[in-house]
Amino acid sequence: MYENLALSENGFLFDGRTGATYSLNKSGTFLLKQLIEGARPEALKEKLIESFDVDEATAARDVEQFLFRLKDLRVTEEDEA
Amino acid sequence: MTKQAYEKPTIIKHTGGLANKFGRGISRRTLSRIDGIPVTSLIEEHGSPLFVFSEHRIRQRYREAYRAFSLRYPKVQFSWSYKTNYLDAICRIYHDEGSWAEVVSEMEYEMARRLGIPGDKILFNGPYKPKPALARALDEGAKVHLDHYEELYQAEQIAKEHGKKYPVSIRVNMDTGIHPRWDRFGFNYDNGEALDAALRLHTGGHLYLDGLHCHIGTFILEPDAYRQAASKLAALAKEVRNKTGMPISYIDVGGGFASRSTLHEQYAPGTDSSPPIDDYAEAVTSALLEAGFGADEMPTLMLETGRALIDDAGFMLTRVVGNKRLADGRRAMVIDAGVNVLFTSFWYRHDVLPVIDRGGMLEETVVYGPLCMNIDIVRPSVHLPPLEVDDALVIRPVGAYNVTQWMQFIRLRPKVVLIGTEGQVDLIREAETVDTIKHLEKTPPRLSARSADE
Repeated sequence: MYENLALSENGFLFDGRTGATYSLNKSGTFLLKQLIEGARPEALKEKLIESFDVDEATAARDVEQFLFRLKDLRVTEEDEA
Repeated sequence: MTKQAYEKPTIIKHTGGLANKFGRGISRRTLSRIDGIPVTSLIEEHGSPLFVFSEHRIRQRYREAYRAFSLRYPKVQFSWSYKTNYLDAICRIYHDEGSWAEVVSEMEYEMARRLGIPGDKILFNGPYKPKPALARALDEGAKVHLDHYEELYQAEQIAKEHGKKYPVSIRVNMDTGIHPRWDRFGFNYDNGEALDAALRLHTGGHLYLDGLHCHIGTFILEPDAYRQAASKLAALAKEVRNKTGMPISYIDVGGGFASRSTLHEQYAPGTDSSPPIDDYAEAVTSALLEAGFGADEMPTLMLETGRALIDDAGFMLTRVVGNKRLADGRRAMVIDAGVNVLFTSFWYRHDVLPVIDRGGMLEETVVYGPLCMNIDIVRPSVHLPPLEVDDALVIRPVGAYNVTQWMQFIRLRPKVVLIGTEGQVDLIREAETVDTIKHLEKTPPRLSARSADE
């Protein structure tokens, strides 16, 4: 699912499947990197809280919205079989 | 382990839009103080949204404009355009600087008189002056600018009834080389109608021509249009002088100078594309000086500049009330000030400046007002950093027309404060309440007898 994504440390993303490019901020880069490295979406909230100065309610809200956004942009879309 | 500063996670897709070599580059800008007063303290004390005017800027712009014209021409008189902003405190500042009043209705005429402006320092424009208002203005010596023949006949009739001979002026429209050509106000110069009206006025025996006026358009970015207007009015004045033997005492080139606002359709920001006031002054005064008036017959140059004097003295303070992501992926934001109080959002790309910038990526954002109406868009697109609910924003310039064209629609109109030249903050208009709106209404007893829950 993520093998076509090339994400740089400073938040530049290239999707080799579509040719699209994106910019992510620091926390966005952190979350997508976690996903690429195999983290489950349910674990992202805790990881965010461990690394960033954010409360649990905000982290839960923002992770939910970020995951929706990745899906909406088709960055995390499953390949059609 | 020290945790990193948090910013809401964001991903933005790159789109290959057309490059705009004229536009302002995307930059991070904030505005935390107005004339030294912190924006956040103004909101804490007076609430949000809040209109703020700067007395310092009002006086500064007026003096710049007066200097630009008076250095080039010996007799100059500004008249404050009430329709641009008729808050009493604002009008008083202009009158204190030496401005007369320029009004376009009996309502505005009464506003000026209530501020103590004598009739002979009021220019009365507009296409409709009810007979009692016209009679009062003529009797009080106002500079009445006749718009059409019906008004001329009515003024003549009043003079007959009063047994007096009144000075009046005529409004003149013309081709000044710009589009759109405004030909709805006054008598046409190019087809000879204006000269006919001027001569007709003299032959009636009850009126005499005191001045010539024009209002060639609004937000005019081409100073040469004013050169042509002044030149044509000067030629008309000389022709009337030759045919009647009567010199006219003033030429009024109206208003319409562009402010530093940016129109939606403009590429370059208004700060770059609007001509400086000196360019307008040079165009108008050189045309009058070249017209060849005798030294004792130089007409006074009247100006009714509104927008260019007040626009950047006005600010709207507002707060974020919600963040959204639209279905097409764009970021959107809802603020507590909408087009009901920012009417000029329909024409201008206002500056929308956060009070603080905590960092994070700038992202193209749609800024919506709080109205439950699709048209309530304050900025269709502006680059903003991440902002949270309750973060303050400053919208500028909003000094012209917003506090006269604002609508009582869905929400009540907010307070207006003035920052004085010594930094004092004074409330100059209270916020509306539901009573402000409802006290004029009357409910028939047959409808008020029963309440809804019976």
